[in-house]
Amino acid sequence: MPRVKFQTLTEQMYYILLCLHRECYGMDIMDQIPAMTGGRVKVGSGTLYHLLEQFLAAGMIRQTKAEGRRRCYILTDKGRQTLEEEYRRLRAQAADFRRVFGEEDP
Amino acid sequence: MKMTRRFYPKAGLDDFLGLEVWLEEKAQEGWLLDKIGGGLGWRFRQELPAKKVTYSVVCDPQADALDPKPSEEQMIFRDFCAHAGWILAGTIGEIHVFYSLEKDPTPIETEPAIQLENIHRTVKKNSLIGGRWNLITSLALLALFLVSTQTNPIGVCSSPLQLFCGACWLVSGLFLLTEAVSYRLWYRRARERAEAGLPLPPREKQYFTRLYSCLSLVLLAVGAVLLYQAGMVEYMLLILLGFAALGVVCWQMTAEMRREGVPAKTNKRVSAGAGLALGLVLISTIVLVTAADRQRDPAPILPEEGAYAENLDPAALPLSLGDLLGEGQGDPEVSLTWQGTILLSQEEIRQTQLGERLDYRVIRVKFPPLSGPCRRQMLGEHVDGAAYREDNPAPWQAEAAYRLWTGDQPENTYLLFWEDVLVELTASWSLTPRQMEQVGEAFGAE
Repeated sequence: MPRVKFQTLTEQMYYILLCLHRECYGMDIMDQIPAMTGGRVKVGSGTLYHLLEQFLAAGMIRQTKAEGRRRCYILTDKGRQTLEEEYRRLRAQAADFRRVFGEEDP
Repeated sequence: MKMTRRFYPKAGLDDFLGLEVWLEEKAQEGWLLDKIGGGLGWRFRQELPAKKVTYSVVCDPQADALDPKPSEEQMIFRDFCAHAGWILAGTIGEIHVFYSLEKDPTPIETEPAIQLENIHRTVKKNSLIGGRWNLITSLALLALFLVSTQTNPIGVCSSPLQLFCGACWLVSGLFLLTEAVSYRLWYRRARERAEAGLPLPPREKQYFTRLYSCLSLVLLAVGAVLLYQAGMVEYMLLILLGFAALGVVCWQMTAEMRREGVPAKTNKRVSAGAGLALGLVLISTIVLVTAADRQRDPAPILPEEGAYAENLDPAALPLSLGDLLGEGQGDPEVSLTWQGTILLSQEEIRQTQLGERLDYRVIRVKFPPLSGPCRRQMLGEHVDGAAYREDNPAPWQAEAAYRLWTGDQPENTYLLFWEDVLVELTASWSLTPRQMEQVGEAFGAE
């Protein structure tokens, strides 16, 4: 059965949505994500562009302003909900890991 | 002024990884891509000393080769890439080529699933592989050709032009079908890797491309030989020049509309319509010119060298009126029509002399499997109300013989079959047994 789009988020999708919890220019996300993750996660310029288009079409983000070709976006309620569901999923995964390997909660 | 040079890409437009490797090799030799496209290869400019350059070939399905200028969305896409240090080297349709001078630049595409989605959207727009309409048209023409070899094997297999066209439909249909299947197989592999987060596999088609190129050259060489043997080289050059001119006209029209700012969709529709209309005019003109030319009266020539001739020497014919009715009755009027290929030849000879008439058509089958279909075609060729009935082949020394009957009235029209010679003969009188034997000696001994 095909997976519903954005049912689970890839790492790059997750961090793009995270960056948009505050109003932000699309291009600036490219610099924010490596800064946020210590260089661990990088998103390609083409991938970022196409994902922003897809998030817009899915109603997960909305454009707040445009200055020439520079556009600003912010999360919508739907985007925030998707992000929170992904966060809960990742927490559940982390909890299962600790249970299996008997690690203490951080 | 920097030196420029042109090179042909070693990979196809749909082999992004292959193109990137080739471009990076060129950069290490001191050549940076300057402009994509053109029949003479891609243009490169010399940049010395040679630099370590990373190239990235990406697909933007929103772009179109006929866009008068990049749209706002395309410019935003380029701005994103420029922000990350990627410099646009050139575009062709949906394909964009960027390069970066940074050490270990972040790739433009970091999500294989998104990359595959863009490629697939572009392919569905028929930009990367031939187009489904080209495929349908080629396969339809090939199917029509194959059907006509069954319904009219004599006409098709004795015509160098029809065989040459059949070879062209076969080559183009095979190419487009193989491209479509090859893409489907690649897409399935790519989707599995993309779902696992792995980079997309390359589209490696070198062996297929080389095999296809060799096959095309062989088929075209055979076609050229067929046409040369039939004395049709001038017609083929006329056709090739005509289509080359048509291509130039359509290209100029498209380029002019693009310069005038006509939207890509309108440009495509107008160009396609104009190309189709001009193509029909061109084909009609060629058909009319060649038909008119073949009706003119050439100098008398031997049957095996020409397509149509009159006033032939009866001695050059396999069977003449004089052979059957005796000499000393003056020169008959003779006309001959001939065409043939390595598979089959047919000649029609008409003779009249002192009110008597002898017409016959001789089919010489050089490819034995065609004998059955040719016999069936000849037996089926009759006017309404007439039909061939089996006759005694013994007087003709033939394998089989048939006579045409109109109702209950026998005609003086016969079909005579030997192993690889098929004859349709019509006389204005009833042949005697001795004359039948002479006919058998003339054709059966071949």
